[in-house]
Amino acid sequence: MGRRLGSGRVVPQEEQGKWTDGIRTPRPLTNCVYDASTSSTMRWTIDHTSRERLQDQIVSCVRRGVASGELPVGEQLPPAAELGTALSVDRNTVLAAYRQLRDDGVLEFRRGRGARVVSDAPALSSVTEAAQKLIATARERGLGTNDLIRIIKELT
Amino acid sequence: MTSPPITDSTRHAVYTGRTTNWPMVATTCVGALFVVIMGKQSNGSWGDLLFVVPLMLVAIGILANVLTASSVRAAAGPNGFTIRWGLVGWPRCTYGLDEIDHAEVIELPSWRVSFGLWWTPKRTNCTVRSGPTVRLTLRNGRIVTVTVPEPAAAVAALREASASGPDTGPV
Repeated sequence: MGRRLGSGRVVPQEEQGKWTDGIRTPRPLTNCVYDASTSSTMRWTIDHTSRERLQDQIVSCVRRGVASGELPVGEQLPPAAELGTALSVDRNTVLAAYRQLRDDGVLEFRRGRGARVVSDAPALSSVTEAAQKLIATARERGLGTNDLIRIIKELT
Repeated sequence: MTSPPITDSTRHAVYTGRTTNWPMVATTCVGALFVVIMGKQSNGSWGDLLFVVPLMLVAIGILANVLTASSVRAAAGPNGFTIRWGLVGWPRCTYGLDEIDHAEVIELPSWRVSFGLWWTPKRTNCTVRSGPTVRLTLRNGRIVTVTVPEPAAAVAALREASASGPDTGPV
């Protein structure tokens, strides 16, 4: 009887590492004997009933991924057709999102190599800076975190 | 152009991951080249079928390796688990949530890595490295083992989709 490829010990769920929305604590490949491979990973969250355009939601996902380090500079994004199928959106919607990110300087298109991350989202760092100013101002006025969140929700 | 089907959940999470194993492809190509050079130096000539046929087989082997072992792209979410192999994303296969009985993370030992696509009547393997790997058990009994960068995230996406989608059974 030949070897049974693909068999292995089941990893208990508590050992698998956590993956919650926005917070990722992947389990390191401690037992990986052969790992000369390169890999990339991404979590996309799409709400088809949201008033926000699907294109903008995809843009937000990429920006979040870049900001969190999930998508490092040079990382290749999935082809538009594949991502469209996975997200249940039209390929052209994904392409429009990619184009928007390219125009913002986050992505670049290379013939035969797809869309790649070229920027570590300087726009996001400016948003963080602005948020810090907002928090400081709110503290001066005696507003708490919940008040700030409420105001932001009302505005958006 | 129409959009692919969507489940009845309003907000869903999709996991995408890509694993590329260029060292494996390079090793195969160098090994195959070595075999060809050795054959040529012994008694091979381009008009000799005994030399050309093995050469063609080696070329097919390299092509299969480049197509299946060079890159594995996976997507997990409400539309199930999709695997695309190689540079051009073909071959590919999709297992819908209703086809998947169970999804789990296994610790794949190095001696059970298939280094590319390996198909048997009961199993489909597409693994390019050892370590944590996704294993799907389909309702028809087939076991599918796939290398993805974050297996736990892929399984979590499938479970989340199964819990929030239509009644497709436990994943």
